[in-house]
Amino acid sequence: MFKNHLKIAFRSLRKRALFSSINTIGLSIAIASSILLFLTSFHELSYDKFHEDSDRIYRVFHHDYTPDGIQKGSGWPTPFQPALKEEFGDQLYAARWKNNQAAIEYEGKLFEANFKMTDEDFFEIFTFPILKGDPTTPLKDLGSIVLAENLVGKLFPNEDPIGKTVTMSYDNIKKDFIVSAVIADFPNNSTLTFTALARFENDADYAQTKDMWSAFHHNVYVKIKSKIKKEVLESAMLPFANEKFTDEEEEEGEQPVYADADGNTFIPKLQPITDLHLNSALNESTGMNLKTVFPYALLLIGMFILMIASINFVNLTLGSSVNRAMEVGLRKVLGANRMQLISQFWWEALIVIGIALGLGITLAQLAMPTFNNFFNEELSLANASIIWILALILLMVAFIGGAYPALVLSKFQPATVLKKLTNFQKPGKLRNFLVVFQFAISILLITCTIVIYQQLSFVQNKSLGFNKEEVMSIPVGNEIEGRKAIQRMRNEFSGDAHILSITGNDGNLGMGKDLSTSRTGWGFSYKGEPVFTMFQSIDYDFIKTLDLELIAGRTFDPNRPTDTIDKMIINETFAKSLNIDLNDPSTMKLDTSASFEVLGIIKDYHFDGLKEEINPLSLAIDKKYGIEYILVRMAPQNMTQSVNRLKALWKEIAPRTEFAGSFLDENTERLYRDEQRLSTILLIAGSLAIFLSCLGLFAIALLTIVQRTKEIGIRKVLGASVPNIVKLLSTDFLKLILFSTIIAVPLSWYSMNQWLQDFYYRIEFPWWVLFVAGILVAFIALTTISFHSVRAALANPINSLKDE
Amino acid sequence: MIRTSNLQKIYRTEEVETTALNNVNITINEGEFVSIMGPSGCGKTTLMNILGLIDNPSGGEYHFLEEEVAGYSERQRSNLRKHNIGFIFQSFNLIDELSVYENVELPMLYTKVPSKERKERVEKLLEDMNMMHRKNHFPQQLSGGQQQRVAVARAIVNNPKLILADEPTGNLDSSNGDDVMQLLASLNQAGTTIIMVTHSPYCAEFGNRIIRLLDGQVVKENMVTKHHV
Repeated sequence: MFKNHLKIAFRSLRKRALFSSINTIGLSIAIASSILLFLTSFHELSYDKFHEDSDRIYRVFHHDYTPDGIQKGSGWPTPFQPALKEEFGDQLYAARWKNNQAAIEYEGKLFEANFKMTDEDFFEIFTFPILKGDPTTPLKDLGSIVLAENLVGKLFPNEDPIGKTVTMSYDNIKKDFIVSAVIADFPNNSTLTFTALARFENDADYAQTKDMWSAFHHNVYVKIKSKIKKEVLESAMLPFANEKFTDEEEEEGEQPVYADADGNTFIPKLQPITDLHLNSALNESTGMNLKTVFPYALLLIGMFILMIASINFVNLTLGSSVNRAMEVGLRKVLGANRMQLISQFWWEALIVIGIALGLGITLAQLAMPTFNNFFNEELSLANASIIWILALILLMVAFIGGAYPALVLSKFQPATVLKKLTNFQKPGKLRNFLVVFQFAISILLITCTIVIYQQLSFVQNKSLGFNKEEVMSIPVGNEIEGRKAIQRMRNEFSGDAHILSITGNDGNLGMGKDLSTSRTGWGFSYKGEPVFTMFQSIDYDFIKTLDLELIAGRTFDPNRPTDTIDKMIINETFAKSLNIDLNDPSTMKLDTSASFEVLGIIKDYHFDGLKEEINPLSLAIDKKYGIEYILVRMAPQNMTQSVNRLKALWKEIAPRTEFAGSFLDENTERLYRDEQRLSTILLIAGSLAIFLSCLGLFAIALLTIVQRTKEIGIRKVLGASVPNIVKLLSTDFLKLILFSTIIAVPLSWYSMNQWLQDFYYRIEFPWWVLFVAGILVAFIALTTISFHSVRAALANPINSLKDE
Repeated sequence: MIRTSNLQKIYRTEEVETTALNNVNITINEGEFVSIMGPSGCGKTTLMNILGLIDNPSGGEYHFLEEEVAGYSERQRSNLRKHNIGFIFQSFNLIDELSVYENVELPMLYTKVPSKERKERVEKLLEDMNMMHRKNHFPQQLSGGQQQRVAVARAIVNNPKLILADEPTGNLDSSNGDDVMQLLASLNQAGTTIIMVTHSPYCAEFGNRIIRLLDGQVVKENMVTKHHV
C-alpha cells in the first residue's frame, strides 16, 4: 500500500510537472532564504549567552540627572570598581574593562593587539577557556599578560609562550609583560573582544586617576554570586553611589536641582550582558531602536517568506485537488476507505516538501559564502537545530496543505464525483484570503524598502555642513603619536597643489574602516548655570580642511602659542545657548571654573550624523589630548594619485600600521550600516515575496482558467471579445490586490513612521510610495495572469466545448 | 440477491425537486444477467449507483445479500462494495497515473490481498484478456477496446458476486463492443450476477431479463428469449 502511495505520488507529481516545480522551487527558495535569515537572527540573539552564568552577568551603568535630561552612561571612574568590591565583595565579582589599542612585540616580531585592561575577577565572571598556563588566576601579578590563541600562533609559532616576555606599546608608553596564560579566541558572538589582557593598574593614566571620582572612562562588569535579584542589588548600590558621586556638587555648594522623585541625582543600574549587543546605547524601550529590532525583523521577514511559499503550496494543492476528484471517486468505488485516501494525499504533500527541504538546504549552503561576505556575517549550517525547526514547520505545512484534498475530497459520494455533477464548492474563500495575505506582505515589504531607501538617500544627500567628499580620515594607530604624524605630513606636502591641507581630531567623523565612533562630552557651569557641550581635540587648519564656516572671531593661529591654552572655538548652537553676542567679542569669555576664551564661532555642522540633533560643540587644540585621526583635504583632481602618495608616505611614517584611510562621505554612510543592511535585506525579501506570490498567482490563474474553460468557450460562442474575456478573468484577481493594498497601507505607515522616529532629521512619510507599491504589484500580478487569460481568450471555443 | 421495495431517489435544490427514482421494486436473483434500458434521464444510472452502493436512496428499502443496506454508512457500504461488487463504466475510468497491471491490481490493495496472490491473479486475468503484452502500458497508450478489457479485468479481479456495467459498449465500435459483451456473458455463465445499463437492444439481448425504466419508474419487465451467445 505504502509503495503504491509513493508510486502514485511521484507519478502525479510528474504529471503536473509545472505545478510540482512551482511548488518545489518556490518552497526551496523560501526555505533557503529563511535559513539564512533565521541563522542571522539567531546569531544576533545568541550574543554573550555562551558565558556559563550569563544570566548573572551585568554591565553597570548609570542614570545621571542633568540639565539636558537623564544622561545614560556606562563609563566609570577608576576607584569605582575597588570601592564596589569593598562594599559588595561578598555578593559579586567585579572587573573593569578598558580599551587600549596596542602594539605587541616579541623578538622583533610586531603585531597590533586588541589590548584590554581588566581585573583578576575577569576570569570569575566570564567563560573564556584558558588553554595553557595558570588556569585559575592568570592575572594575579601586575606584570602578567594573557594572550589569545590566534595572537600566540603568530608571535610564538614554535615556542611555548608561557613565561616569555613581550613588550607592549600603548598610550605612548612601552612596558614589558610576562605571558601567564593562553586563552581561547573570543567567539564571534562575544561583545567583549580582545587578543591580550592585562591588569587595569597598567593603564597609562592609572596613577593620576586612581583616586579621581570624576573621570569616567571605562566599563565595569559584575557577576552576582548567588541568586540575588538585579533590582535588589541596584537599590543596595544607590546609597553607595550617592555617597561616592555627589561630593562634587556639594563642594560647589549647590543643591541637586535635577534629580528623580527621591532626590537621587546619580542612579547606578545593571544591564544584563545578554542585552548588551542589541542595546549598547542603553536605550530603554524608546521608539524603535534598529539594532534591537533587527533580529526580530529578520525572523519576521523569514516567516513571511516561508508563509508565502507555504500558501502557494496550500493553494496549489487546493486548486489541483478539484481536478483529482475523479481519481478519488474511482478509488472509492474500487474500495479505498477515507483513511487510505487521506494518507495518500499526505504522502504526496510530504514528498514535495521533503524535496523542497533538501533543495532549500543545498541552496542555503551554496548562497552562504556570498551572504556572509555581503553582510559581514560568519554563519554556518553547523547550527542544525534550525533545520529541525524548519522541518517541523514544513511538516505542519504538509499537514495543512494535504488536509483539504485529504479531508474534503475523500468525503464526497463517489457517485456524485463520477457523474461530474458536483459543482465543487470551490476552495475560493480560503484561497482568496491567502492570496490577499501574500500580496499584503509583498506590498508591505516593498513600501518599507522604498521608504528606507528614501530616508537613506535623504541622509546621504543632505549637506552635513562640512566637506566630506574631498577629505580623507586616517586612523593614527599606536605606532606614532598623532601630532607628530601630522607635522611630518605637512612638511612633506607643503606647497603641494593636490594636498590642500592637513589636520586631525580625536574623534572620528562618521564611522571609519576601524568601525569606531567616539564622542566626548563635557559639563561645567557657566554664570552659575550648568552647561554641557560635546568636546573635540583638534589640530590647526581644522576649519580650512573641513571647509567649515567661521561666523565670528578667528581660528587657531600657529603663530600664537597661547592659542593652545584655554582657548576654544564653539559652534553656533552652543553660542546661542550661552547667549554670546556675536558682535561683542568681549562677551566671548566663558567664565567657568577653568576660564576659557572663545576664539571663534563656527556655523553648525552635523558632526554626529543625522540621527542626532546638532549638539553644542567645543573645539580646542589641547596637547593633553591626543589626535586619533588625521584629516587630509585633497584637490578634486588626481585624487587617486594623491591617495597613493598618502599611502606611500604613511608607510614611511608608520611602517607597521596598516593604512586605513577612508573618505568622510564613506564614513558618514557607514553610520547607517544597520539601516543599509536592513534595506538590502528588505529589498531582496520584498522581491522574493513578490516573485513567490506571483509564482503562486500564476499557478492559481492557470487552474482557475482551466476550470473555467467551458465558460470561456460558451461566452465566446455567445459573442464575447478577447478583451472582454481577459477583463473577466483579471478583475477578480485585481480586486484581491486592491484589498491587499488596503490592508498593507496602515501597517506600512505605522512601522515606517516608527522607524523614521529614530532619525532627528527625516523625511515626511512619502504617501505616494503606497500607490507606487500597489500599482507595481498590481502590474506584475496582471502580467502574470494575462499570460494565461490572453491565451485562454484567444483559444478556439470549439476546443473547450468538445470536451463535454 | 437484490430486492428493492419502493426505492426512491429525490434530488433537491433550493427551488426544484427532481424525482430520479420513484417507487422502484425489483428483485434480481443470483446468477441473473439483467439489462436495464430506457431513454436518457430516466434514472438508469441513478439506480445503478444505488444498487452498487455508491449512492444512498432517499427512501424505500434495499436488500443486498439479504441485508437491509439503505441506511448503511459510507464505511459499511465501502466494505460491502469492495468485496462483492465490480464496476464497469462507459468511459472506462482507468486511473491515468497507473499502468495496466497496477490498475488491475488496485482493488486488491484495498482488500489487502497478499502480494504474491495479487501477482498471480493479475497475470492470469491479463492472460485471459489477451492483454499480458500491454501490462506496463498506461491507459492513454491503449485503444478503447483494450481499455475496456482492462476495466473488466479490474472489475472482476476480486471475484465479485455482482458486476454492474454502465453502458460498457457505449464508447466502443461494434467489434470491440461484441468482445466485451462476450466477456460479460461468459462471466455470467461462470456464475457472476450482472446488471447492465444499455441503450442498445442488441446488447440487452445478451442478458436473460430486460427492465425498462421511464421517468424513474419501472414500466416493463420481460424475459429475453433470443440469445446471442
